[in-house]
Amino acid sequence: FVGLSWVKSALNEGLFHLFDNSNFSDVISTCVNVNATLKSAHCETKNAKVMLKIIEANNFFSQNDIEIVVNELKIHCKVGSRNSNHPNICQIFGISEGNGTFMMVLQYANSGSLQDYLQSKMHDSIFEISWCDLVRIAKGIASGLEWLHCNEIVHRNLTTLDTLLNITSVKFVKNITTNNSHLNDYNVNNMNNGNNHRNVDNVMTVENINQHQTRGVWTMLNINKRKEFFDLPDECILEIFTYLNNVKDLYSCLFINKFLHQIAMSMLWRNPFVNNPKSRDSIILTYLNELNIEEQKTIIPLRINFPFIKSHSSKYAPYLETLDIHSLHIACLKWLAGAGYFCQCGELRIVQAVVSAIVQMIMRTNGNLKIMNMKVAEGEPDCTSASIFSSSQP
Amino acid sequence: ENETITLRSSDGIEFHIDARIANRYTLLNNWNGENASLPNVTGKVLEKVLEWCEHHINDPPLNYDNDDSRRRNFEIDDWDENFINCVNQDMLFEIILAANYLDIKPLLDIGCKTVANMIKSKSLEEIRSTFNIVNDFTPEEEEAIRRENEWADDQ
Repeated sequence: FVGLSWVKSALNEGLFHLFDNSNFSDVISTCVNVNATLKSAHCETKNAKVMLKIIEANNFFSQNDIEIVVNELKIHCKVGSRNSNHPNICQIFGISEGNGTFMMVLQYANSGSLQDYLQSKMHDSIFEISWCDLVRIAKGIASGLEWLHCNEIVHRNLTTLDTLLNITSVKFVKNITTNNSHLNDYNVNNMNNGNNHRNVDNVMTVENINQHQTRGVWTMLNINKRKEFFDLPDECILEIFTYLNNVKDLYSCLFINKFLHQIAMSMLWRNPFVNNPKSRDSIILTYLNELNIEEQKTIIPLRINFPFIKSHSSKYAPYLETLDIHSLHIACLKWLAGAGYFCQCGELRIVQAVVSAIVQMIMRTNGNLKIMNMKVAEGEPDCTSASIFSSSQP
Repeated sequence: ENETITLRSSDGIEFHIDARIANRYTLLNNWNGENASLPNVTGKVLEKVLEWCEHHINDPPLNYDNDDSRRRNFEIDDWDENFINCVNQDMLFEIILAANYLDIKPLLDIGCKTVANMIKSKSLEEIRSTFNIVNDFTPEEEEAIRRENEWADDQ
């Protein structure tokens, strides 16, 4: 190839460079099609990662095959070179040959195909990709195509199969080809509004294309993916939540999605009593739901047959950081009175039993407790019966 | 006094910055005196980050020994507010990522406070649509969360 006159002059003009075969290390196969293999590699000269499109020499059967590859290089130079490029079109850096192969050195794209990407978004028959992402992908493809069309190049067989994904961007590798008659039609019709429909048919049709026209040129369209909330690392999301100190805001965040639920829940349940909520019954019921069999046994004889309801998977008690026995006592007292238990017993020992069971459960499950205030008001029973050191933690 | 260092962004754009900026921040400081490449920050983002750093070049020295005292301040000063309000959401996340990577804590704080402010006082649907988040709860799970967290709903 290096000996061909157009390639020689292109190298002289600096349209692309000639890389020595030994320039590439960490070569990893990315994508294989009938005509070539696409691999990622580290390029020593550029000190950066690149894509290598590798064509085995035994794929060249005739002079015509060589011309197709030269034509491909010309197209790359036209739409994706140092002098003429577009953010949605991958650049060509150069060529290399040796060991029975010819290589094009292209701009780097780091992951699998767009097809793989879209399939990875499919979970249990639900397609989990946002409309914003889909529109961004479509916009990137359309923008790249527009650039090709402006350069009189027709893209003939756009599919997701040869499309590559980058972590921060989506890139695709596709066959493009030129067809002068179509280009002429396109240009003429483009200026003639009345024939726009036919014009689109001409440009996009893949019928009646000769075999040699569809093989060859791969071009990458680079679709920049905008940064989104979940692109932030966990430590940044936690940092954001430290500025949400309002119970109402944290309550809203419980329902956004499962990931943010965990963060909001862990913050809300650090000290649920601190803001003196009116309906504290839900705190007591939620904690009672987390009692184990042994702890339940201590209150069942007192005929506290509260309904154990199937909990959503979260456990709340492990997040408690401040345990104030007095607040817990008041909350239990109110719940028991509201539920009519005092009519049966009329004694505070029932309150003591519930408080003790909850304290014991917290001691068993919680590794985050920082403050425990055991001071109780006069007349309130303390929880001497609770074996608060039954577990090794905290 | 006018010593400069050169930072190169991931897309190869070079920025010549006052060495005092590098001296203020731990990670940048480690590169002081050398040309540094930042493979995770694009030129567009680095330009914004450095604009912020240059404005704050004469701020009092940073003291982050007490993490809680830093968080007590929920306010954003006028210049910073104007700076951060002029960027779109995409750039806001880019700035947070860059500030986190470059360990520029005051800028990270401003970014995080801004995102927190975008969450505050918004309805659930508004939060989801602002940040393009998909609800992955079943109605039964939502109901259980509502029941278990009822105390927080009346605040």
